[in-house]
Amino acid sequence: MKIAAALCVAALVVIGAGLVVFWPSPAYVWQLPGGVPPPKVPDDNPMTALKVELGRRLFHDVRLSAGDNLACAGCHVQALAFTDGRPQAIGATEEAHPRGTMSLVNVAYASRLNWANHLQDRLEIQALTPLFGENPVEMGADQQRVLELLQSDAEYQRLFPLAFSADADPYSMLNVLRSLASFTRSIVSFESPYDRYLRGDTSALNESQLRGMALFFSERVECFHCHGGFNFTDSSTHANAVVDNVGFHNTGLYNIGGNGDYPEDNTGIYDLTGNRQDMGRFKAPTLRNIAVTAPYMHDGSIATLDEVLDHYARGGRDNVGGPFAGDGRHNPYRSEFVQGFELSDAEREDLLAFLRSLTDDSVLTDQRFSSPFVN
Amino acid sequence: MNPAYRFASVLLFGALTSCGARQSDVEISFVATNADQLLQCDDASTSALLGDLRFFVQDLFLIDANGKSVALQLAPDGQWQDQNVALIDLEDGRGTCQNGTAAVNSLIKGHAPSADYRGLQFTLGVPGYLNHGDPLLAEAPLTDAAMHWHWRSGYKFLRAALQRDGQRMRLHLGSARCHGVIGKLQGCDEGNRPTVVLHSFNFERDVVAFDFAALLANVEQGSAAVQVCEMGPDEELCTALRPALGLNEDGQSIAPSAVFRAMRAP
Repeated sequence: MKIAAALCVAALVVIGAGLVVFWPSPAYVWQLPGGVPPPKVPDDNPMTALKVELGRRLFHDVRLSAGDNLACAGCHVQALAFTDGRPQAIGATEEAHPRGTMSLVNVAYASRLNWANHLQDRLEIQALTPLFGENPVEMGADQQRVLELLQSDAEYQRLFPLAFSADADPYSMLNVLRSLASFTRSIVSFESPYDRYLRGDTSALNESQLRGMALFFSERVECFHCHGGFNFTDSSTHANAVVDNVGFHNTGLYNIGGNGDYPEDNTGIYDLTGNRQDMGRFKAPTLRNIAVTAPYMHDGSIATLDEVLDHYARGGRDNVGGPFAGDGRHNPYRSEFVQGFELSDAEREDLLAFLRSLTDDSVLTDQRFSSPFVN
Repeated sequence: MNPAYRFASVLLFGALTSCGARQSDVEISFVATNADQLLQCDDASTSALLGDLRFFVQDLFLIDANGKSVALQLAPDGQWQDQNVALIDLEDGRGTCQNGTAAVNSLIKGHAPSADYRGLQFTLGVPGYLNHGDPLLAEAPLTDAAMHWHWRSGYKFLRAALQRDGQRMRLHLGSARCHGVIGKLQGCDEGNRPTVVLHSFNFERDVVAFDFAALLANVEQGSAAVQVCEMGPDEELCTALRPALGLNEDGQSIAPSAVFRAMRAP
């Protein structure tokens, strides 16, 4: 009898210990309005609230950078929809990047990441570039230093074992990347006036914005061809998608020497494919929050939305003089959807009003995405 | 001892010794040179200044007296080599290698059947099935962030940098024009894996020299101050380096690379 009782207690202890170690985290709850599918999440990095919280901390931690001076949040500034207001990003060692910081709002739905990389589809892997990239140096992170940080910081010592409870040693670069990806994946929001209008709030858009919306989706202006779908980009996917949409487009910004060339450091996906047809092809970024993410284009070479409309109305930019001289309108690789159009002054105002209606103030201020560091 | 038992043990002993050929431990040593001059990161007295030299080696063979290639089995060590690929790291982060790491590895260790070997053959690169895999799940020696090409995908098979006559050059060699997505590549149109054949190489007496002078044989002096080849489509330095690497424009190995040569151990 005593043996049976002891065995019973032992079994309960084992089962109990097993539950403590392997009890699954409660399923992550996406805060999405009805009708919006959740984003795709990789099987090997399921969403949990703990990972997201850990990722938030890492995202705002300057100690990941070479000089302890630049967190992810340093370029991905929440108030600017996680961009930085610069034409080209500047790294921890003051090196300029050829391209501008991209917004992270709804990045969970991006089928491809970065301005010009058709091979990059996972947040977990993408983060390696800003962390460890050398040309240019972005954050200039050092793998060893990062691991030492995790071992020496009390909060990370507390959070890593909680977030990665099944790992014998949770303090790994892989888990840093998984946490960061979970956090950026969690930045989803559909609360702009446009979204509320779609959900039945007929007062959310005024007459001018409604006219602008009609222009946006018209065959004359054709914005929707590249900036369409629920995220205003054709490089978009979600959990229920059977096929990922992926798009890279040459909009006629440059045409150096008249043979289609873009500046050497910004040739789009041509740099990776070596295929001339890919010269100047860049991803069409999301237009959500576009009013707060100036300046525009991959190199920030267009300062205002008004000038963006000039560019598309003309069907390409005429670069006069200087090393990049050439009329982009005649770029042989220019997208078939960029043909130019007529736009009256009143229509221009309506279209701009509509674009401004894509600003979601809630995500720009939501404390869930803000810095947990007190100073 | 029981005669039957003795007979059985002799038979067993005979069987065991004839089962496998004797194996020899083999160590292949690598050095960086500019022609005949050894290069070190913290030695500013040489004609050229080493900036970086790290590369992966796969498919090693020793060439025997009959010209037959015999596979060199790599000894996994959990850091610099597994059974498929080895990482040589000849920069120590000091002096002119300021963006490198302190860790160094100049040796490849393995074993091969004991024989009279006259030569060495190997490929510079990471085997395709490893190159195309998920970098986050990779194991040593593929865990170094500096050797992974998180932009172009796959690994940097070779990282080399040198300062010479007021000019700086940098080479990152890896597969290019890849398809699929990083972590799950379907293939790359340009392999860019140079092969090396050293017909006269005695691993007990010689070392393998990576010769920058041979690498840069085709590069014009007095051209641009900074030259970069990172597998981009229009990089002039890449065109100048391909003959020395034995690669054609499609990234195929069409001749053994002249960059590596046998050298008496210093």
